[in-house]
Amino acid sequence: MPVRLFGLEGGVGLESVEARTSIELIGETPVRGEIGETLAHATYISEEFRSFVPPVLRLEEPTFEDQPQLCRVPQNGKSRTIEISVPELGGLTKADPILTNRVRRLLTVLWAIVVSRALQVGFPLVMTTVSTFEDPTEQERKAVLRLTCNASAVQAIAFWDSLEPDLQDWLATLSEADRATFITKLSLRVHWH
Amino acid sequence: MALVSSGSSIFDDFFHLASQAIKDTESSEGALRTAISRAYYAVFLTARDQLFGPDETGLTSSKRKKLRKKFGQKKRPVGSHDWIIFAISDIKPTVTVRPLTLQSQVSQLKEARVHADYHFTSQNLQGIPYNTWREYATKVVELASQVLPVARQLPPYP
Repeated sequence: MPVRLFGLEGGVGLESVEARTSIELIGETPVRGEIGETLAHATYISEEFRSFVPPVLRLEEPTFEDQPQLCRVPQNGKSRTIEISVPELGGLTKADPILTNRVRRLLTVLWAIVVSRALQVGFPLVMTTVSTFEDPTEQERKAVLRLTCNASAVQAIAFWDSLEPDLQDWLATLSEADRATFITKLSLRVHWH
Repeated sequence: MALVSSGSSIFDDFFHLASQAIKDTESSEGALRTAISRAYYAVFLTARDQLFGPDETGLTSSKRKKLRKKFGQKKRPVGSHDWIIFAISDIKPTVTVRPLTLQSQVSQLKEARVHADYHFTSQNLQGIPYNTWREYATKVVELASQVLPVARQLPPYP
């Protein structure tokens, strides 16, 4: 049963997409849909779900759509496997001088880090969009990964802060040029309601 | 009031003014836009003075050269705000100061300030998921309220 993990509708340059989630009892009759419905209502904050989401992907460009993540989920004393396919990040192909190949690659990994962390901690992301920002007074132009969430200010900023170790670890693996590009050309935005 | 004053107390005053504008249900769009600007400057100037001293007197040419080299900005002029925001990311992480996320938080405040001071069309405000200036200004002041205490703990830029 398809389950919406992230509502990417209506974002700048992003297509409306659905994640595919299916559940199978390990060694038993497949059961589909049950976890999906639970997730849809619980907005990923289930304690049980938290520990199954795969580790943050850092070192390679993610290919979530082609390579579904399989996670083991104990529920009601049984072990289940959840297949999670996070949709492709759209909008990166739109024409914009700031969206160079390097920036697109870095944005994609940044998005994967953020989404993975959100799944791990049960953070209720509702929309992710790519946009650009230009400051006319400083000749500054950036590519922006913009997150919208159903959380309070304190929760949203706490989630934002929680990304620091992942970002530091990732940046440590980057070349000097990539790191400089990340600092000067990319930025993360978090919005809450 | 003396012309020369203590920066830190003035920055707190900026934030206080921004908060007051948010609390006032009668605040006009102009007041709310100004609140965004004051909230940003409260944070930005606090970070600037922490990193480079009052009025960035400690931002010497050698430090500018270091920043320019580090961030590959040899081919274009770098705005005065960019120097500070780049420098934040170069601080060693501590329990309370998370440089990369702090940098993006200050950058988000800066984006809001640019919108508040310069932009009036939906085209230029594209991507901002708020419908009113009151809502946008409230979120900005909320963010500034969380970021300001962290900015006060920034160490001098090495």
